[in-house]
Amino acid sequence: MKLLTHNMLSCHIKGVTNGFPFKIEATEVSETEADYDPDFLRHIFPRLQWPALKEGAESLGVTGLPDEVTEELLQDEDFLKAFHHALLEVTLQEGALVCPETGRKFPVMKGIPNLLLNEDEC
Amino acid sequence: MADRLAQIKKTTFNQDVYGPAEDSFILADALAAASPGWRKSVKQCAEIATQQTLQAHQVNTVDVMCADLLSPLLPRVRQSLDLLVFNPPYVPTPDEEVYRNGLARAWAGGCRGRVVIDRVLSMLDSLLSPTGELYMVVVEENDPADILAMVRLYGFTGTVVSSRRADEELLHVLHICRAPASPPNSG
Repeated sequence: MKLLTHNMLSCHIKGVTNGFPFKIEATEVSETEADYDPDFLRHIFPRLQWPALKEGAESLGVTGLPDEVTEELLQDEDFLKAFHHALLEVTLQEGALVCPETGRKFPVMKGIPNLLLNEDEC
Repeated sequence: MADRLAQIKKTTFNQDVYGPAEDSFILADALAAASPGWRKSVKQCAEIATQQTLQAHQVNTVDVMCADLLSPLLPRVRQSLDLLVFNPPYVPTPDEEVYRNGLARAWAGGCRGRVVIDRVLSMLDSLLSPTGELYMVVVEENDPADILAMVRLYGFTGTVVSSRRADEELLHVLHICRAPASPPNSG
């Protein structure tokens, strides 16, 4: 699971009101090369919650992302490369997504998060 | 372009996974005619098979997840999906088969095969961006004309972009997007 996906997921247990973002517990992280596309990064940026991406990256061992992103930064090659790496190349292989409100852990195995709810959570 | 197309010999599936068949092929062909990119799911063994298939094709920019339709995405993805590709369980069956565990869940669609299809149609407005598009496989028994009439009520418009007969099934691919804003009522 990449941080782009993490940025779009919320805990949807019945009654949970602050299910975003999941905390990440990482036991295995990998990196895969992805095609660098600055236009895609600028297109997707407005749909992202930046603090969640930065915090998610830190929990996967990727540091150095800025606290805030300005229009100038979105034209800066060094920044865009770091953004690209955190968003699309770093992959959570084994670990868990933890609901920020209830602490419920959703397992991630072989890179696949299992977000199915138990019957009493629906 | 040819080297980007999926190859059946690189596709992973097993006795617990419904493998690629005519419904997958008509959808893949309709997408190849429009634009590339897709996703699909059922139970963890299906996700792992999907992952292995993607890896065999050196596709590493697609994430696979296990969830009840798009539920975990709904709060965040509000009207921002550009492309949704859906090969639903469309076979008409008794409704209880939709919720029973096992391989049949990959195809069991309940009454008229519409139980899961109609759930997704009701989410479309929350999911699709202003220019978002849905490509979906259906069969004749799902009543495509009724589906297209139903999406109009939700503010969408759709067409049948491809049809093909496969054994017992008459398959169609529907393309659905937001209807242009209706002109102001002069009445």
